[in-house]
Amino acid sequence: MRRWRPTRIRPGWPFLVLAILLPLLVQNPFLHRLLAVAALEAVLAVSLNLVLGYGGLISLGHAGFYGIGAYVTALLALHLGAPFLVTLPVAALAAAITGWIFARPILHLRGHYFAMATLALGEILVLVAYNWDAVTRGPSGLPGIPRAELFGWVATTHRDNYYLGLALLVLAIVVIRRFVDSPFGLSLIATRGDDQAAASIGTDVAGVRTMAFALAAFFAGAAGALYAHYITFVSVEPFQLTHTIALLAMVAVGGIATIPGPIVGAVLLTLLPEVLRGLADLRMVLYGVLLMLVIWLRPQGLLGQGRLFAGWRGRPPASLVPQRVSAEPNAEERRTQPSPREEAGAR
Amino acid sequence: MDSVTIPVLVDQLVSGLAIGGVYGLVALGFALIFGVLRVAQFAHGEVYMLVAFLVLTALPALPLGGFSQFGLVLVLALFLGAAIGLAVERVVFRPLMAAPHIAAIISAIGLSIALQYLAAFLWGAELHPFVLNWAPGNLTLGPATIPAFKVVIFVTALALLAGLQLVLRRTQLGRAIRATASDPETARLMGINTIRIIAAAFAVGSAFAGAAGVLVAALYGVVYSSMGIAALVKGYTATVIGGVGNLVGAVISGLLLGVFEVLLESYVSPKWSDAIIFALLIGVLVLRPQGLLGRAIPERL
Amino acid sequence: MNIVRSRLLALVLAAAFILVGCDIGGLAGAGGDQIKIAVVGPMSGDAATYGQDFVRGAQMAAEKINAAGGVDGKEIVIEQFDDRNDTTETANIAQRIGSDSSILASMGHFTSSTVYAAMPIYKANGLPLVVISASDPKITQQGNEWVFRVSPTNDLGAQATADLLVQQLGLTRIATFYLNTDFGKSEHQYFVERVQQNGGTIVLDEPYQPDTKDFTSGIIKLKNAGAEAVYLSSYYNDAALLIKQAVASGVQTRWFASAAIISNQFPEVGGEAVEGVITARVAQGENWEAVAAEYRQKYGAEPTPFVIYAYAATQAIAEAARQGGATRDGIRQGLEAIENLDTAIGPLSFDQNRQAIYTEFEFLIVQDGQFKPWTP
Repeated sequence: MRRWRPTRIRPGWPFLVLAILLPLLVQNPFLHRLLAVAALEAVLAVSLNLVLGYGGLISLGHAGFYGIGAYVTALLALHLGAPFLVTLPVAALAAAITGWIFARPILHLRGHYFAMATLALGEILVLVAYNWDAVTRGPSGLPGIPRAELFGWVATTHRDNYYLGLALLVLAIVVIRRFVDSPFGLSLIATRGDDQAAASIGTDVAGVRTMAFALAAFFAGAAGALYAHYITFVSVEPFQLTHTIALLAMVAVGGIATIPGPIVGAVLLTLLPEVLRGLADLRMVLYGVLLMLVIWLRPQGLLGQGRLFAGWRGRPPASLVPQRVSAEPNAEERRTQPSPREEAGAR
Repeated sequence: MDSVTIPVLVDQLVSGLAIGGVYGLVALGFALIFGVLRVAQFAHGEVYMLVAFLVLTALPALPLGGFSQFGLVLVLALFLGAAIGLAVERVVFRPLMAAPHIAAIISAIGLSIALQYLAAFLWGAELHPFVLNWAPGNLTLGPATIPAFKVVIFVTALALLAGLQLVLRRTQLGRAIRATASDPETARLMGINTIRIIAAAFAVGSAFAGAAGVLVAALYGVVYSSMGIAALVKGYTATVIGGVGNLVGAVISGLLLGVFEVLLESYVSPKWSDAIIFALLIGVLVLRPQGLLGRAIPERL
Repeated sequence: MNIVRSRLLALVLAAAFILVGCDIGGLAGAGGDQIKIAVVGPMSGDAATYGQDFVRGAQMAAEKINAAGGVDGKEIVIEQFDDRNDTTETANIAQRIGSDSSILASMGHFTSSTVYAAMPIYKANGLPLVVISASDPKITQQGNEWVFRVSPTNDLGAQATADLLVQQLGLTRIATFYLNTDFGKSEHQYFVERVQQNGGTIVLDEPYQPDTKDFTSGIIKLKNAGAEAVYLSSYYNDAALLIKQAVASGVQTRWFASAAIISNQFPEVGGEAVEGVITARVAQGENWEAVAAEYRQKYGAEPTPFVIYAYAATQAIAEAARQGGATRDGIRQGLEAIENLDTAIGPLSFDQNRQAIYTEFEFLIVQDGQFKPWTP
């Protein structure tokens, strides 16, 4: 597949080397902890971007899949003594299967109906985890999850866990990029603009969307498994709507429908509250203002490509690869005057 | 509680309709803004919160007795809501009209976070008691005794809805809003200044959020900085059940949501009522993709 | 990726790391003549008043100890941290504290859930934690030798109130509401068990979720439950709102609640509706009253019990550093050795689970917007 689109995205080898070296050069456990968290957030943002950026579907339940991964891992490890090499794939598959089952009936929904359905799913998952005391210990959470272990090596320190997260991130990037570049990915991008038009040229709209949704859930679940082994404690807070909203912000700030964008967004928005910590009460005010400011200055995100945006707003693009950089008016609009939104934007 | 008696049921229904009226008002504003702009105003809950705080701050300056204070507070809330709505539209949404939808949504989320924590900074994050001088006491309705204020809230919500319907159907502005909501492109071609209409919808929709904010503050007796989130989730849910862009549907589903909540908490479980509501919501969406009361309008996202 | 974008990316990453670098720079620098104690709790959000109480109590004790020459010439320094009352943030902040070698002991984390999240991290870092509010009895029964508690467990107050209701006041039909968290569930369970042992009946057993502000359905149940008294396993916010809404709906009953409602905010939020609400707390001796008086003078308000517990925890840590040495492990060993230490809560001793021993209780009633002593 990359044979016929060889130059689209070059691997970020220098960044990977930097990411590997950084914690070796800076010996600070607190920085290592932040990096470990940022790596997991990046996996979540990259996987959410598959649905949001390439699929054009707003999912408000992504943190729920992260939660499935974490809880499945915790329960397997605590009750069955399952090792990391078992919990990781099982947790990822559990999230993917949940995503797949859930996606089938709702993927014909559009826009806000889809967003609402995913919000409802996320809330249900959290409420079940919070109230099903017999299994999840409810608000008490599940403490005492063992550290991740690979062939005798135990991921004890933050740096160990950071490297695990980084490995998962690299895997997620490789797989998701392959998916996006494959015919499935092209179909997915086609459904983003206009699912009916995509269907009319023979795309299995529900099929590719289900696949993307399940794949995104798979990586979120895997991230959940790492989280559980890393923090050694699982309770519902990290899996709530507010986390999904933070993930949406990461994708949008970094650059939607790009591979590096969500990673940059995840790193920045994970570090930002720590950097602002000195401001105490005002730090979240500034966080919100900075979020608005970034979007205001670069609506497509820091690394966003205008090109990939065309058609994202649900206006059917004239072709699959639109020529203009800004939002592309559809064929019908082009015959008439620019719409009020373009008018305002032009000023 | 095992036996269901009529007085208990009446009490529950009235309570459900009161809180449902608040959800309906929030949903109505959300739906109105969505209708003309086709973008979700995710900071809608913060308008509701901010108005409640501003009114709370203004209360000592309104030492009127009884009902006149309530009336004045309501009018003040409508005006404050409208003013905040206009500012939000101008600062957050208008500059992003040409940007992708997700940009406007994230910007609204940024605004929502900033406003919530700003309120916590200015007024403090604790609960602030909100007490009006007017305490209408209890009402005897057949065999049931119910707090009269709940009836007042329900009636106020319906009156505001009726007022809006009157404006939408009988005035030039209302017709322009409806035209824009049903088809922005055609409306613009017909010579409607859709940018002004969007601002007007923001003003009216946010005014309703403001009214809902003070009603709920008076009902629960408190104002707090994180109150907007719950309102947004409930209002968003009601909007979607009602069929996005369907104003009457938004109010009806807000009322239904309120009643359902009380009944589920009472007869099933307070721990599981929200989960059941969300499960029902998914069921409704699967069976009726346009929402329970919606018609198939072409939604753009 | 084109050149412009990759440069932008590099720039962004570089900027981020520089910012983090600055932040970490601020962390370094352990003082040799200081004993630094971390005070952790909700410093922002709607439980922020509790975090503030922790800091005030600890600060007052530190000032007192320092004025008297400190610990063998070393000054006690209090540094506050915000865990936002969120388990994930707690894990984050506990690690930050644990990896700062200048900090020798930590106290706080408001709720039982946050303490559970933090405990293994303190153990891994070998840093003693003194719990000053979280009240689930099981916290100190986990075999974690780094966790001590100077505040009382919630079983004691709940049982004392259950005895009061059924045995002394003869109120046998009792309704209960409880916050569905570690704290609420465990306290509620001890209360219900004791009521039933005493021959009373629980006529309403109603959980509510955290962040609940609308108690309508529970109140309608209460109206029709025929209860002679209500017991709330709640914090001040929920309790004040619930009672206020119930009274507005015409409920007339006698209200009792957990000691966690003791806060100036409780009568403020609840207003007239909460007049006459009764709660049990551990008996307060002269030392408690002396610290309370100092607090009143300094801040012009009635202190919550958490001020006193933070004060006592600081005294205990200082004494431990004196006995065991000014190191993390020295303080842990010093705390274990404490026996009848004279502190703000009176003589402090730990049982074999490192839980402070309490025996006596007293009751408080809300009168004229204040908590006042009450005898049945």
